[in-house]
Amino acid sequence: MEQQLSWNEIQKELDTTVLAEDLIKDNKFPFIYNKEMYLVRMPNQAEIAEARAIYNARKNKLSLVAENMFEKKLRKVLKEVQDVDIEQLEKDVETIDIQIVQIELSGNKLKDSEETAIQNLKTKKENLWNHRRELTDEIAGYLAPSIENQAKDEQYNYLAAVCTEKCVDKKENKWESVWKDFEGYKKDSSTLPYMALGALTKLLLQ
Amino acid sequence: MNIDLQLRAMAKSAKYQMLYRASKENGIHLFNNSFDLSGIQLRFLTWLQIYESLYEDLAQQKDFISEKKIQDNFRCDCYLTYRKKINEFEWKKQKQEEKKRQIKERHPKRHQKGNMVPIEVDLRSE
Repeated sequence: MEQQLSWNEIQKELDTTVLAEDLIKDNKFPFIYNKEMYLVRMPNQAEIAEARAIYNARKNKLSLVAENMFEKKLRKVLKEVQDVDIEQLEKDVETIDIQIVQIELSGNKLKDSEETAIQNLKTKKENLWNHRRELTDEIAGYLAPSIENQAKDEQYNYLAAVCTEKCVDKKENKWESVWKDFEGYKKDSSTLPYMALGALTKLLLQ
Repeated sequence: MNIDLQLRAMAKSAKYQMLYRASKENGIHLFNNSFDLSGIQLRFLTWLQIYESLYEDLAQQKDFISEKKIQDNFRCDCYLTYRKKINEFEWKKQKQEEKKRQIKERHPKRHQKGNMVPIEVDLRSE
């Protein structure tokens, strides 16, 4: 699949095209792609079970290839070979969490009239939060190649494939699955699979 | 505005607080679906519960809460963190009291006057 938009661009576009008020009414995430209406719906129990089976199958298949690593081994290799200490990065995240709590406890004592002090603490917290997000993105980036994360990607791609529908008749409110099966989703070289995956991620709030 | 901020803004509004109360008292449906709730719907319910509890704290004139604070997300988070810490402290205190009570029940004679025997008591929280 050719990625035409970055993941962040897709997330931003989904944020701006749909109002939360419309999203809470139902368990679906509608979006527009190439001027056509689509939606991603919540998976049912059977689909969740099938996705879990796909996760396990993918995990088993990947573990047969010597180059692939489970997360535990990947963490070790990153530390020994690339001098990347994931545990230390996670401890840094915990330290930031403690600092944020301290800021909030200080902020709670401020009165309504202390606007400058409130703004200062707010800025401090935003900076810490941004730094925290950078760290968690960094950790996720390093651990993305792990067998567990690759299997999870397959799981969510499957759910996006089966849960995405296109509006084929606006008057009758008729919707149909976009892809016949998972293979059809994988072979689709447009940005639509990425939009669908982005919408599913937002719907699940993962 | 990102979805979470929108959900929060909606949850604290008078309209949705009233609808939330009505859904609990009169069975009015907040959503078209009553099962397979999406992550967005669950997050919205969480914010509704949080803001309901904040308005209750305001009504009871509890320390450190004000209408202005509830409307400001940062200040609201500060109050929620403070409230969580207070609740954790109260819970730990209750647990210690309960442990003391259980020890007294197990060794009643040792607590009668003139019959005090020193015993080891571990009041450290688990």
